[in-house]
Amino acid sequence: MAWTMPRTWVPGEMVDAALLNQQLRDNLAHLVPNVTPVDVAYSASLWSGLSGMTWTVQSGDVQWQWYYRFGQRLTFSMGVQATSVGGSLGSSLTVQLPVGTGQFVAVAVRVARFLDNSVDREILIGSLANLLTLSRADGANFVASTNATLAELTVDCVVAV
Amino acid sequence: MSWTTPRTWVDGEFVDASLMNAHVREQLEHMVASPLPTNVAYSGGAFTNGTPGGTWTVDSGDLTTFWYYRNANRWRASIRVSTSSIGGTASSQLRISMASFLGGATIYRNSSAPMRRLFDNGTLRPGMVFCRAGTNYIECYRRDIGLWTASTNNTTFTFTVQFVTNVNF
Repeated sequence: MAWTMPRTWVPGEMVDAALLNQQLRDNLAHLVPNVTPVDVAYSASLWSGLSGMTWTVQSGDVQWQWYYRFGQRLTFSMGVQATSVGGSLGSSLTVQLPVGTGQFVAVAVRVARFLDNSVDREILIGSLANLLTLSRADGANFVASTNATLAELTVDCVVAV
Repeated sequence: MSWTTPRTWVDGEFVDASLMNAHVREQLEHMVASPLPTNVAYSGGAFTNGTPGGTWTVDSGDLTTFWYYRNANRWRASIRVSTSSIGGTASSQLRISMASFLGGATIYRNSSAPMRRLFDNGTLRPGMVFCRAGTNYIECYRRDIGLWTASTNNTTFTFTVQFVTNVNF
């Protein structure tokens, strides 16, 4: 909804529906807008691991991936299944955020659900530049897997844009 | 001070105090203040088992928290169910209907959240909730997607989840 300059009302004028819809309905909708989440285009390079670990997510593995942003506040949600982990196994998998190129701070949250080579694990979310980092809560390395790693999360971040 | 979809006014209607308070005062207060969550009234029918033949009984005293907060089509809901009962056909999914406050809106995109605390028939377990696009309810799971354990007044969990609906002004 487009913003219209707030009206200066004058005594005796007839306040009709058109005025109220412009001055109240449309201006209120402008100030508290609906959002349409943006679906993130698939790119294999969005998923990775630190220190030589690999995280292979194929396009068919992505169940959902969307975001919306107000200024520096970003809400991001993702669900991937049947993904693969390999390379030099480490403790942090990463997801590149769709917007935000600088430092950001993620709200301290846990992943809703994570299967580490089919085993249910508690996973913590952190941040590193424009990446979300996923780490096992027990501090151990992730397990190598072939089409057996699942992650589902929704997180609020503050991003530098 | 909950946010309400901005009203479409029509010519010739009588604009009374109730309308002005709801659509001017409270909307302005919502934007400049920290809005208060809206408590959801208890309804036993809102709590169901996702499997035919399964039951989930949440008595009024079991629902100690159920509120939502809305900003346009962005929502957060927080729920604590304590000492509820599960029976009948074993199931992995419990459902909480949000029809009473979503109106005709449905969830626009999938989202999920971890449970803060879950006791499955008294056993502490990880849990999660899932908001599925196109529905108007929250799905509750053990995080391992295992079957809920039959219980009598012994299943308790707490969570807060955020989601987006398809509401358009």
